[in-house]
Amino acid sequence: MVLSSSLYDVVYVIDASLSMGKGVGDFRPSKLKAVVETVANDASYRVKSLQARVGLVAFYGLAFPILPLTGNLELVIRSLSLLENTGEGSAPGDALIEAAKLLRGSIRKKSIILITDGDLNMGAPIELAALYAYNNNVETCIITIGGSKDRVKIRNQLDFLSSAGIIHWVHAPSRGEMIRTLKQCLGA
Amino acid sequence: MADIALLLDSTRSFPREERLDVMDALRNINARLLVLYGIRAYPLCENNCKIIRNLINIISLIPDIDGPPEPYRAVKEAVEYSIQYNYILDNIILIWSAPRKPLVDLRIAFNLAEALGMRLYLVITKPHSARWLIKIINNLADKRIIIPRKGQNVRKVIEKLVNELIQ
Repeated sequence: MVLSSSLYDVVYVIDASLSMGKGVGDFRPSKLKAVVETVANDASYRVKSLQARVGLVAFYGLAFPILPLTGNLELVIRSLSLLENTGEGSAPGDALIEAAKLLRGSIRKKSIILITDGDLNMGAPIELAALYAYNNNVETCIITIGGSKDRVKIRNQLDFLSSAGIIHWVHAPSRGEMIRTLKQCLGA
Repeated sequence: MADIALLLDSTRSFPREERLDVMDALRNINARLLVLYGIRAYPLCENNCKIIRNLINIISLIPDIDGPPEPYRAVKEAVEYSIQYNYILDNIILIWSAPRKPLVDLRIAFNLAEALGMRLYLVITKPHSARWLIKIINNLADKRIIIPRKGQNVRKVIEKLVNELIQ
């Protein structure tokens, strides 16, 4: 799943649950801070060099859009910097649906990058959410971070969806791997 | 494309086999919106639901959505769809197992849809004699409510309704 550099919209979906407040490996000082820094760099490149529009969704047990699609990089960086560990629970399915809704009406190539430490205990089944995005011609890349792939609690669902071609799933045990994966997801 | 939105109770109180049977009936039409709902509501496809023909085997693997079903939430999804796409759906078919009284009065859901000019049809899959349900039905007496007869297949009821609507 590699997108060309033609105009596209991308929504980053970031797990802001309590578990993301902990550091692991080189995801320091916390997984969330490391993800926010990496996404900020990635979004900067997309907006400046590729004229991409960027949207943001955050989630814990609830999902909430925090930025509609925009090419205003300052707004993207400011919104990212406001992200904090929000609360208990994890609802990546709800977040994926919110992200796909942000892309409604876009005539560009549409993509979602969801970054999580890999739990799902609330909200929409991830299968339903992934199918909704797929049905809307949205390419979905899910990056699970930290530790080993075996510890990802929703790995069976992600494996199935990945093998069915509904999503692209990569596990990034380190920050360097996450950066490489981000580039791979969007064909940089 | 059939100008129909289908809102499907996807909790365990509407048996999975029946639910998939109803969804399978959609193979023959091209619905504009399909929403699965429980205590929350989620769209599964929009604008061109013909695509589910190829995905029905995958859809069958989607687990139940947590209940109890809140039909208002599903109607709200259809309304949001209409507003975001600036497109008024002609017909909404709301399928509800009615296991217990919903938190939000169903009349509000009807009003919400009708305010935008959409016709909302309610199909109750498990009619029984609970007083709260009778009261709800009486309150909606002038609305479009379909209650399958005992032993009548829900899929058949939906197919008949859809055929009438698209003719």
